[in-house]
Amino acid sequence: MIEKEKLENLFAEIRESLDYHEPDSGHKERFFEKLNAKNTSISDVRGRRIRWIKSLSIAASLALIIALGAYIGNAEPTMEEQVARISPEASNTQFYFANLIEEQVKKLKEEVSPETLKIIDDTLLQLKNLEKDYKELERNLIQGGNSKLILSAMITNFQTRINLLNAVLNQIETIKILKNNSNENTI
Amino acid sequence: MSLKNENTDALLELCLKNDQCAQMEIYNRYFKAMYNTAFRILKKNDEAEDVMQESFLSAFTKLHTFKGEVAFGAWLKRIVINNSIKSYRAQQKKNEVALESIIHKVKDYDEVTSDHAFSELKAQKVMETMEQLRDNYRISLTLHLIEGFDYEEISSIMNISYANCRTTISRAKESLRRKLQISQ
Repeated sequence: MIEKEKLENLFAEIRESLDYHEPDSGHKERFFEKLNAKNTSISDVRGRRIRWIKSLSIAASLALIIALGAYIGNAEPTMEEQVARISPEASNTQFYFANLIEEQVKKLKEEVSPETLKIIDDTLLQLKNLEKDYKELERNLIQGGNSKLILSAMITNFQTRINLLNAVLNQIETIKILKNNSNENTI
Repeated sequence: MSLKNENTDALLELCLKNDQCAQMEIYNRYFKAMYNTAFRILKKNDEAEDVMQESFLSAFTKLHTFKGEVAFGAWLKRIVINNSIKSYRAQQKKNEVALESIIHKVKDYDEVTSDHAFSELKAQKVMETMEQLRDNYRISLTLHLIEGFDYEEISSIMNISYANCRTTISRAKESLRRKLQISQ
């Protein structure tokens, strides 16, 4: 019995000194890599799941496609996150352009009239196609394509959309002036 | 002490949001204790490191289930112990014979005989003696005398009956006592 107590006492005495082993050097780096891999794969899985649901709902509703086409700022947030990881600059640029385009599209929609309906519809369709291209580029970027080329193509895509919107808005201005003028002429 | 607790709590909050810096800081604070816990069960550097790191990862994944009834360190340690036991069983299945168990370790203690290192030296001696015990003696004694679990907890961790657990530990103590006397 006395012996038994001794053993407990012995361990109480040495408890503080028991952790004398050290992991092999470089263990922090190895852990950091594992941690990184884990955190990345979590957001990947989440992203894939959301994209899948998204694509299903897009297929379900054509109206939603048009809404999404007009509303690129809102589309695919997880894709944006992934792009942001590859190139933060690109995602900042995207944010800036998306806002700009959204504003222009709003302006465009305010101009709807019997005379401009056709050109506006056509513009929205073209924007949608451009956006489809853009999504394709984003996908390529995430899958690890030549990022320099893809990023420059993404910027060109945005610029094309802005140019298109500006051109159409100018044309609408011209149509309005023409209409007013011809109205004046007929009076 | 309370400040240190607060800091850890704040860090855990950040860890819940997958903040990598906070996760690394938690790792830095606990890795040594957790590594040693795993090492005492597994006796192998690489496996102990692996189990320890995987335990941190799974702790971060299920951190939302940590309600703070016990200290975070104790909660984490339980994960490390469970994973170590799991890994130990897998190791047994593969029937690997550790190099360390064949080649007798020769350590030179001459450099650490200063007074303040005495309890450390003693600890090392006791641990080396522990390592000579049969695996189930070593593991049950480690859980009982070092990690401070009671019989019930140990029988659930090691998946053995309560009675079996009691006998094993009492025999393990007997065996350790004998070996310590011889080595002294």
